[in-house]
Amino acid sequence: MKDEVSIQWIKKAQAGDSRAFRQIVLHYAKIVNALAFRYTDDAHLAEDIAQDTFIKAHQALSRYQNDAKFSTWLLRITTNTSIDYIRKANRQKASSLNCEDRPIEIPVEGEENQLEMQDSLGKAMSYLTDVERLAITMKHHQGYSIAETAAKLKLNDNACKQTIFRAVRKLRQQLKCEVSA
Amino acid sequence: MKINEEQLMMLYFGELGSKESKRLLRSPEVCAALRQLETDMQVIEQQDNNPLPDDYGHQLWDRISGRIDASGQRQKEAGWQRFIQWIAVPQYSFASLMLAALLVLSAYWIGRNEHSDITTNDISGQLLAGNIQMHLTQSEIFLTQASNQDLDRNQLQTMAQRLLVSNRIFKRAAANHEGQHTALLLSNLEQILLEYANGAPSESTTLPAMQDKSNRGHDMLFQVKSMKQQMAKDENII
Repeated sequence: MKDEVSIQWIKKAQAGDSRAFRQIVLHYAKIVNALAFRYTDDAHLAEDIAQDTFIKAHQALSRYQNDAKFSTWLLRITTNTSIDYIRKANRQKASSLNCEDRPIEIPVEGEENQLEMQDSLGKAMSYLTDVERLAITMKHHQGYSIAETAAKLKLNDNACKQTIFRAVRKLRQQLKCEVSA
Repeated sequence: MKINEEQLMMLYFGELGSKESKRLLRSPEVCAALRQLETDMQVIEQQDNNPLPDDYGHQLWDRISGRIDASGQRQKEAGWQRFIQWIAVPQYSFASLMLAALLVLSAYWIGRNEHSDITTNDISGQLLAGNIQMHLTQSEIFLTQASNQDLDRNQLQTMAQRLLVSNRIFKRAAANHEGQHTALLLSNLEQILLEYANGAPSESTTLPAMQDKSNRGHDMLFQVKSMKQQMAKDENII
């Protein structure tokens, strides 16, 4: 994690100093975009989420208290915004994040040819469904507990656990395929 | 010791209890499996899939700064709108009306008190002093005319009666404004005015009485002139 921005900038931004808030944006822009991209696997969506995250952060800045790291607070907004964006996108696709009985698409050895193999490991995340990508990123990258992740994604704990396991299996399988290719 | 995949992941994600974790980690096979999983996840984790330009922060700020300014403005307007909507709610509107009335009454009460303080100390004193000076001028004219015997007895009596009324009012006002010297002078003036107002036919028939009255009139005339000059100088009652 990048160093935290100076608390003085945060206090100034809370007092309405737009130059101070600009400093905060410059400091955390890449981190926020990177996390949004992890959640969405879509550069355009990640850009929209990053913009929305900072606007929401600006609106909620007065409620930030110094008892948590600013980056933790900001990345939680990023997470919530990403979930909202994906839910909205899925609603538009008549698909739901809450569908726990979604068919599992686990690539297995010997079926590599059935998959459109990607050129790099960087695209491994694209093999995951939206809910799998959200769950594994929240759990593995952001350090949410399974219970917290389940609550955010409106899943029960067991379904959330299975979603995370499935995501790990998919990622490891993809990794094996790339290494053996 | 064999470990199934789900247990391994639970161990990796720290979701097992410490007792169970310690028990599993005693096994070399479990440790090897865990290391392999950690390595795999690190490789996946380290992929930077969305390279961003160095000046990405500046670009992002350029895109959102206008929206942030607008959002700040909207927040201010929204606060005002919420207040208006709150007042518009019937059950709150009466309370709002009462609140407004209370504010107006409070402002009136405070203003009134402040005003009376200022009037007592400054403006009212100056106005009273101005009015008393005018009264003293009229009294001075009266005393001069009486001394010179320019007017007949009835005219003097009528004029004295008129001056007597205003003299009593100014005497009381001067006493209330702590103008003790003024009040004393007006009290003495009242005695002379009273004599003229009542006519005092017995006094006017004897020479000594007429001289005495004339002397007191001259003396009072001097006092009135002195008082007028002093009040004009101080612009206040004394």
